[in-house]
Amino acid sequence: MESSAEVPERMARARQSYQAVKAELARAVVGHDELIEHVFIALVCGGHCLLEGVPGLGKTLMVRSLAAALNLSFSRIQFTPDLMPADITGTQMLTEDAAGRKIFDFQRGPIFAHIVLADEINRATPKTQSALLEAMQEQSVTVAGKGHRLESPFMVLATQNPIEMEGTYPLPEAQVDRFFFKLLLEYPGREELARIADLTTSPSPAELNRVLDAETILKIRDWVRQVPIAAAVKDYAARLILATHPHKNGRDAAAEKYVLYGASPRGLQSLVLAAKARALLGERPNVSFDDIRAVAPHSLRHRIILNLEGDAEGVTAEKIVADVVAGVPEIE
Amino acid sequence: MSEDAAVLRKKFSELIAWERAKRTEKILLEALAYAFLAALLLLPLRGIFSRVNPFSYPAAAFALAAAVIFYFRRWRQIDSLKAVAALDCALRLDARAVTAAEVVEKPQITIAEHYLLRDAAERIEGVQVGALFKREWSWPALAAPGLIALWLALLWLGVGGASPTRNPASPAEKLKQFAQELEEKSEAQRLTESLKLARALKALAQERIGRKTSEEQFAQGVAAMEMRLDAPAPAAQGDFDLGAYTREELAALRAELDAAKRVRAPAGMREREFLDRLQSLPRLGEAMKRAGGMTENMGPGDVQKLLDQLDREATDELDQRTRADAQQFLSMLMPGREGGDVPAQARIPGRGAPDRAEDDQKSDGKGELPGDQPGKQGERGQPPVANAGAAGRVTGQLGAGGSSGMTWRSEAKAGESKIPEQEAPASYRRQMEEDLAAEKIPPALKETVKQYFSSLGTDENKRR
Repeated sequence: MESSAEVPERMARARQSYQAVKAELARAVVGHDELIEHVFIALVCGGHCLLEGVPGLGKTLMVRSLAAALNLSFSRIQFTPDLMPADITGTQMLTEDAAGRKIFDFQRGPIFAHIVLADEINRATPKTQSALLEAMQEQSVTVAGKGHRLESPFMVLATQNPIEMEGTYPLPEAQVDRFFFKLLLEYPGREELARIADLTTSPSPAELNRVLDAETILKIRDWVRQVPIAAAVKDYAARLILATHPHKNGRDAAAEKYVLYGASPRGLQSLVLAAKARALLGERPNVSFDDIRAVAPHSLRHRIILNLEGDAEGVTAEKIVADVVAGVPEIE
Repeated sequence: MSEDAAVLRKKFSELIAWERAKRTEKILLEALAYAFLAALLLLPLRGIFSRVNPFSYPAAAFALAAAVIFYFRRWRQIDSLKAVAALDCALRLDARAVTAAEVVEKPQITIAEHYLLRDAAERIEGVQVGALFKREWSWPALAAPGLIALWLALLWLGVGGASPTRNPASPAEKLKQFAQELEEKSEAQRLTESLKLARALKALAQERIGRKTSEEQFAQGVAAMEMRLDAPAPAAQGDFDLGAYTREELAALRAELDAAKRVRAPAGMREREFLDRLQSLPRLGEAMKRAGGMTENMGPGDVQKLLDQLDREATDELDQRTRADAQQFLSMLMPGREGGDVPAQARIPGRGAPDRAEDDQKSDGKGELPGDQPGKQGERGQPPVANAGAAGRVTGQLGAGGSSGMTWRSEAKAGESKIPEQEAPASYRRQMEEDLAAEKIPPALKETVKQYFSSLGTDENKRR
């Protein structure tokens, strides 16, 4: 029978797991500490991440290293304009069985892995992009009328390049909303660049150890959902979501002026769940207002659709979120 | 309920009770400050609401302000939540208190929540909420003592109107006071007509004070009384021309008459001898001297008739003056009427220090010296404007032909005289001598003016 004495042990174990993954990734990836933390949070929350950054910042390397540090299966899909949905989900192949009869056999696509890297996701056509929708939301794919369950834990890490927009297909809002976090990769600093040079030009790149298995990740997922959150904190998260909408409360002037559509209810789910994970990894027994504020930019930035005026004036979703966070009181 | 939950409940209750008490104190102090601020602002209007006790202004404003503030800042559920959140902030508990406050109310809790309660109880148990959340004094609370002190000081200084003790009475009360004094004086001096008048005035005032008549009816009654008094009185001119006498002189004359009537002529004393003895009395002698030939060739019983006539004339003169006083008083009694209001220190002539014929002053007039330009036909000299107060009388110049006089009433200046009584006539005489030397006085009048000012003070000395 469980007792409350297990709770601090759980929190310590979750934190140790995170620290272990972070330490292992640090052997291959330079910097990006915050990015790694949020990717790990998304992993233990059962979410997917959209990584955005200019080429060469180590997006793919980071995802590959994460998969290597976790004892999980990994597959990479390079999205191109001619990529077809079946190339992702898999297809029925005509084969012969043991008796020599012709049968259709389902050949699993690269989506059937724990960690899926959807590299340059915006280069594929919307039709192909939408092949990920069901997988990301339902953790299953349907081919030829037959559903196939994906492995658990399942996480899609998609990357996209904010420049070189020619020949790309911006992700539809419905798909963007399915990403738990949208994480931005910052350009490395002077010291980090020096370390990158050392790390990538050394004779033998370090082999990463597998420090975390699927079972532990699933346990941590379960623990995350048990973290208590006060009604006042949930109300604060809800008010943040509403404040991103124009004509909802009129509190934030920037949202009123520049936002076409605000964050969806999935944004609230993401806020609360990510805050719970952050509290757990911080070995705190409950969600605080700070947890909500810390995850708000990553949870909300891709869920805010700016209007024409916002685009014209160069307003970013990050600014809207920052304004909203600054303007909404904790208790009202 | 677990032990941790009980500890937390107790602490949260303690915290909320403390915060509520602080808010109540704050609201009361703010209401007090606003009340006295309002009282200060209303202080200049105190004269308008003179019947209202000035202490009732801040009391009423306090009650109103407290009610309004208590209503708009009443304790709500969210205030309890904010108090607990403040505890989180103060102790850096990362919303543990807020979450625990919610969890302690749940009937069933998970192990994570149980751990949260234990963790929160350990952190909160030793907290002294009174020490952690000390009172914070807002500016109204800080300003309240100063505002109260300022208000009391201004009230004490009488800003905005008379002090409560000097609060002017209503017209009816003033009239009653006047009538009572008049009644007492009339009774003492046995002035029958004045006594009737005093009682009529008192009844008029009493009806208004007893709310038997309205303010309007009272005003009408006063006006009717004033008109009655304004009607021409029967001619009081007798053989003894008592118009030049002051009240005190008339009173002294009546006292001498009373004494003379009581004494009568002793047996064996002739009428002439008795008459001579009466003439030796100062006022009576003077009156008889004015009567001239009336005292000559008096037979038996004539002296008594003479004394009765003199007594009657003196009484009539006093009654007439009382009537004039009452008329003057009534003309100024009702606010908004010509003549203004009755000063609070108005007194019945003959009572109190201000009532001296010698104190009469010209407050307005064409000039104090004879003019140096010829007058125009039809132009009449106007008496000085009468204000209020005691009646005085200035006689015209005695000489060939008839004499004329005019009577006016003027206001005795409030306060004490700064010049001793003995010095005033001397001062007048000096001024007179300077004016005579400067030839401001027409030569024909020089002697008269000189005699008049020389006589000032001598009568007073004689009286003493």
